[in-house]
Amino acid sequence: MTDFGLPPRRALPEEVRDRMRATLQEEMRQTRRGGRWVFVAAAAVVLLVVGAVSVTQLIKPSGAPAAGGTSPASGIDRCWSAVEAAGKTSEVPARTEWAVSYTEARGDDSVFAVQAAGVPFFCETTLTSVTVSDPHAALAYAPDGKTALVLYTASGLAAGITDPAAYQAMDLYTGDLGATMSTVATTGQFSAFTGLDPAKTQLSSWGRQDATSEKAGEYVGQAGLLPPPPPPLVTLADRRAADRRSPAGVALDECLAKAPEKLTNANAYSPGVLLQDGRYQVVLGKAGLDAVACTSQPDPAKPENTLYRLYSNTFTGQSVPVRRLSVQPIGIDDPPLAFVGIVPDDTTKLAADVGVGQPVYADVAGGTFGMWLPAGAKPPAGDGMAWVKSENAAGTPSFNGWIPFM
Amino acid sequence: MAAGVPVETGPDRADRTLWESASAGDESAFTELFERHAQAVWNHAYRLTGSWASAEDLTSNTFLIAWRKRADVQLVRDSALPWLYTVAGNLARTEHRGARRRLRLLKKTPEPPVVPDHADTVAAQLDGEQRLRQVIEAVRSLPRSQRQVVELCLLGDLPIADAAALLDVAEVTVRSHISRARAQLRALLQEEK
Repeated sequence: MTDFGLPPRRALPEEVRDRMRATLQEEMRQTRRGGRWVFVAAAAVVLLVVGAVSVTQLIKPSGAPAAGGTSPASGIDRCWSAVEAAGKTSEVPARTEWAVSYTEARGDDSVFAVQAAGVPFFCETTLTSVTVSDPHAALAYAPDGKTALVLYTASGLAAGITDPAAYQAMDLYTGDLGATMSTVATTGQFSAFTGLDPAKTQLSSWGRQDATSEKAGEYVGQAGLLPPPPPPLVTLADRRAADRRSPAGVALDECLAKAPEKLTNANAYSPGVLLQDGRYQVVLGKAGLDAVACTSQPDPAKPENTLYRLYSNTFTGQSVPVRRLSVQPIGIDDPPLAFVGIVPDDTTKLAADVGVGQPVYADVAGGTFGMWLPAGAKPPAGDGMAWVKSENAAGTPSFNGWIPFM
Repeated sequence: MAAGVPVETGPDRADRTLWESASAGDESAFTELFERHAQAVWNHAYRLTGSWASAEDLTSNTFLIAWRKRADVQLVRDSALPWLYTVAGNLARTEHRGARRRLRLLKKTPEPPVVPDHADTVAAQLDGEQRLRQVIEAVRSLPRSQRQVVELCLLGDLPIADAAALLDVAEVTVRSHISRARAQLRALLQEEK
């Protein structure tokens, strides 16, 4: 590519390598623990209602461990604790018999495929809740007679069983919303984080022979339309939901409820910065490693109505502690432009150079920052980047560098 | 460890061997892959984004995804780089799509008054980065098949054989795409001068 005059390659600075290595090691450490979740101290636990599922309430004193040890239960132990709390230990095999076939995680949402006494079942843990499938419920099978859904949760996790001799991978799909491929374990268990709302979708599936290929020709059988799974045995809110009593919290609550995009663990997001300009609004939320920006604006087609949109953080790494969340302009004619993102949780101040000749200070709250861009704002160096400096209450900088402006 | 069991040591272990060990849960094998390829992926990520900050993010996330997917992926040929480059390319495109509309709208806002600033002192560096951004935009405008080989072979300096194996096409097809892409890139970049 030298014939196009590109800058030469550079040696990787040791501090950059160290940061990236630390991020990777943290991911490995979390994998060892059986999934990724962020500790939220269990003080009081909130009732979570999901459809007509049987629901149990668990109350623990402030600061007490969530289950029987010196620290809150994590991973698969959290699943057992939920079964205990629901008083349903007699309806599942003994804990000593549980063997985890595999575990997968997407963000803070984890699934455990469990096999016990020859019976497969699943457990999902999120930032705030645990769902355990009913090991002894009757399953409704797809037309192939081999494949059935065992669990399809409000977060969009779909989990099921099939014949591992027939299929080594399974594509789950619905209408035009695309497909999600899942490897079939030797136990016949499979699962996928579909991001779909089970109340509005019914999944179909295609079996594949080779889990490592995406070639269409390798489909080996259509399992067909998957009937809904039986109700879970336990759905329990075992972690504290975010406090949303502040104006930003109320705005976040409303926006998340009305935005068409589905958000996993919506009740775990704590409110951050709230920007308002008439009926134009951007509110940020943060939950563990994840962050969202939720916007509302008058509907251009019908101005008396309000349009809601949800934007999620597309980067899950932590190598740069300050990062921008990309939010589309809201409105049509001369709409306000939001410059928003996340910062370390103890940040109290953020200054930005957005090309207007002097630093501009953003609002900072709950590990997020935000500002409406002033007139004339543009990337100061003409390269699509904005300089920002964040610091905590003691004046210690947590970041001083460039982040994408748009 | 039992006596007589053959042990493969770090520096000479091939990517494929390390990857297989990592797939079985060997964290040290995956860390070795990271140490081996982090610099190449970081430089590639810069050439995909034109930003060192974004390159760090992109590299970090590429290895996170590789760790999560290690059991589902089989390496083509002996190097992990083609697959790592592909992941980085997909991540870069996801990020770019969200930014594009905002940037288009921002360009409609009035230009701020021209004031001298520190940029004058680093003009040469910015010229190089500006050039890179022009190339990145031109690459993004290429047809998908050409863009893939440009990202792998021209931006990433991968051997043609590795790209052909990854994309499951003949080497002659890769050469043909590169040839056409070069001509188109030259034309596009000439227009911007």
